[in-house]
Amino acid sequence: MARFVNTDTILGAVFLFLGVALFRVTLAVKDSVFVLEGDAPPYLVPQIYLYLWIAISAVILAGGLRGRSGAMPSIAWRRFLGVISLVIVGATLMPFIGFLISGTATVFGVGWTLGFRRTGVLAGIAVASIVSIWALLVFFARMPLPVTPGLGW
Amino acid sequence: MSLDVLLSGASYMVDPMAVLIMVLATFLGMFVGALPGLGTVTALAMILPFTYVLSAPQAIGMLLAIYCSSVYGGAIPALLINVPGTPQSAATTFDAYPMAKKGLAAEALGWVTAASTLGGIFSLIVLTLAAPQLAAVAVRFGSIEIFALIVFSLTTIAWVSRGNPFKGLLAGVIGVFLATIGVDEMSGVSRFTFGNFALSAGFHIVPILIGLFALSEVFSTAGRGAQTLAKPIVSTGFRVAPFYEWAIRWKTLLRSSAIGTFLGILPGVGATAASLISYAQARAASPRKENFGQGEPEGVIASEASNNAVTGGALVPTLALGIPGDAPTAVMLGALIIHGITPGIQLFSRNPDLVSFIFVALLVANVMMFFAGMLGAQLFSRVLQLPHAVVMAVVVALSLAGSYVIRFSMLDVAVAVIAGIVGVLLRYAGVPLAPIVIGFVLGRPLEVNLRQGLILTDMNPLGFFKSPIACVLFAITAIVVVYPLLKQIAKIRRSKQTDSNGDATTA
Repeated sequence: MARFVNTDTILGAVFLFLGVALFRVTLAVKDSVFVLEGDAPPYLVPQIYLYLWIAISAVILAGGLRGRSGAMPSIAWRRFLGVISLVIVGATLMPFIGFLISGTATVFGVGWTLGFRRTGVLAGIAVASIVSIWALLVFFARMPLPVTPGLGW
Repeated sequence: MSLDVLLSGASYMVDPMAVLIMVLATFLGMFVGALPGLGTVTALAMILPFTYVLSAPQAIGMLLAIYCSSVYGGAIPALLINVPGTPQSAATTFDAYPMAKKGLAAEALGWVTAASTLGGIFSLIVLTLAAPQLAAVAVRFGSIEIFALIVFSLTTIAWVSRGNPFKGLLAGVIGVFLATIGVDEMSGVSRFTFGNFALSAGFHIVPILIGLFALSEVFSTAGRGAQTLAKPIVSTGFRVAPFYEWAIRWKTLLRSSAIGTFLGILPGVGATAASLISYAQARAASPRKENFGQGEPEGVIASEASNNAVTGGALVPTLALGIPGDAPTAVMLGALIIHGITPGIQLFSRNPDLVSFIFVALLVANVMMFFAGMLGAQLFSRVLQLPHAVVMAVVVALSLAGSYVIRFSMLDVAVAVIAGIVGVLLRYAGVPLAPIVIGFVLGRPLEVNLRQGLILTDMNPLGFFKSPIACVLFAITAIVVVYPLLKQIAKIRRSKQTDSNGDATTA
């Protein structure tokens, strides 16, 4: 059983499932679309892509089941998930607490999680980098970033 | 191209702001290229949102400077810590690092910089001569021929990707599929939006690029755990070898520049393959082949001249046909479209000034790269001492801000984060990411031309084979796909035969 659990099996299975699900979407909506005679229907091309998607996924899955692919990669899960979580939280909070605060916290958090433990230096770098990006985009390029409610920046 | 047009293109360079931006971009490109793990596409993706406020020539100059100098920047860690900053500089480590270890870091940097500049200028000359000719031929292309050309390019790029070719193809299909999301331009129907109005406009290329290349690199670094790099050899300067040293190695310079340019024009081959092939060729042809791997400057010339020559070569199909040869040129193509310039057949007839400006800017970028290398050698050797964790944290901040300012939409930030997570998982599964971006860029023209072709042929796909140009392109595509498969089958058969012979002998 363990030999079936490899990157190709997972990749093939996930994309095969996604491909079939998306193909079903095209079948469900295609009848509700009016198409002039002799015109190419809007779902024709996505369906062609999805045929290819499903076929290629099936080939990759078959290769994985035959055990032809490499082993699962070794991942430092705690750091990996920690950084991803920090980025998701930082991005989610951005419109609510502003880029300056969420960005600074994210830079600090990611730097810390990746192993940089000089707190004072990291805090300084986080503030300096975020203020630089803010200044460059908001003042120089005139492109607004999400602001902190009540503060206006 | 007439001298008048070339001069009018050069006139854009009179703008001191454009020159200043190019100077800054050259240093920035070198900086990002010198940081192992980032690379050309990440540099271009991160800087793309900042080009919105620039004029088209300023933005093009900036991106070209980053494109050239980041490829060159990758050689700096290759020679100082034996780790290529970008994959394109992998072959540079073979001889540049042994030179640096012998105390010849300044000389190695001189060879790297001069070879990169000369390789880049060689490819620029080819670009200037070849692109207008190719564009003139491409005028004869209609929907069916353009469709066949895109199929050929996309298949080749996906099929020749490293590792399992089916994964490359899957990546290409994901890219073209992503381009179908949103309102269909031809019928006005919303596709795959699942009732989300924000998705009606479709995905923007920048968040996808930022996610796939910048954020996924950060996540991948996190997943790798703690890493230790060799202590950098701090370069004490910059020294270009005397003329006679170059005179005995001019053939390698010319051959490697030609290989790089040619492979740059071909879709999907890229600078990494070009530098490795050039290195192997140089070693085979050199009278000093026994010195290769021990600090032979010819090895450095071969690698660096060819990987920088790819820049001009890859721009030939990008500018002439609107078809990018690799991921960096796909970003360049996206940038041109963002600034209202559609590369391809019409560009040369409608915007000759802009085309000539691109040629001039590429020349200026290569020359700037030489002087930036000369002046910044010591500075960039210190860049390698920056903690990787801090650099990656700043990349996250740039990515979040960069993806937001594209359309001031949190959806783009979400797309970048999701693309980053999907990107790193695909990396773990051995799926190349470049075909996704190239597929996304080519997805829309592929669909439009296919549908127009079908309308022209009364919905009969066999009608596509009435075009001789399309037939040739389909045939080449079939060869590109079938030939490696046949080779693989033959290899498996041979190994089975060898095994059975071995068993028989043992018995």
